[in-house]
Amino acid sequence: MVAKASEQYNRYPPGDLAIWIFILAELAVFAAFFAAYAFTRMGNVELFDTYQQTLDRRAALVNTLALITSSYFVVRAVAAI
Amino acid sequence: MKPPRKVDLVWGLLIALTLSGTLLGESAEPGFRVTLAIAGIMAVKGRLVIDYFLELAHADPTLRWTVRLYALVIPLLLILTYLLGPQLASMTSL
Repeated sequence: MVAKASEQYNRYPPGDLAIWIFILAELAVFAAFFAAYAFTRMGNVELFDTYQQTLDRRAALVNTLALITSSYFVVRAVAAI
Repeated sequence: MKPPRKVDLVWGLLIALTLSGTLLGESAEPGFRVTLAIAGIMAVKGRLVIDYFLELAHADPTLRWTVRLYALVIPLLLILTYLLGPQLASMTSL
């Protein structure tokens, strides 16, 4: 495939192709999880809202920040090698 | 002092967006505007991760747009679920 003059891109994805197949499969699995959650919640909104209040939001925030930061360090490591 | 790398700025932006989303979720009254804001934050964070952490900004357009579409469709579905929740629920119940 010839790159257009206005857009230069790499023919192959960065890193290993097998990992990209794994990533796309994971995206599909999580899409199914989101859909199952959304459809189940639509039928039981009050129940979901009640038990949502029992979840630890602080732990979720800390986990999200740790996930983003660890991903950042992986990107830095890949760039360094 | 060296100037920050692009990926450092992206990390800072992702952290700021995560904290903003949490603050919004904790303090704001549930409503369409809050749902729209949260969906917008999700879309922006997804795009930043795809372009800078997954390094797809300069990859093959097919792969790039397949993954970018994911980060667009999920927030759109969040908004649709908020707007059409009861109608969708009636379609999925037995």
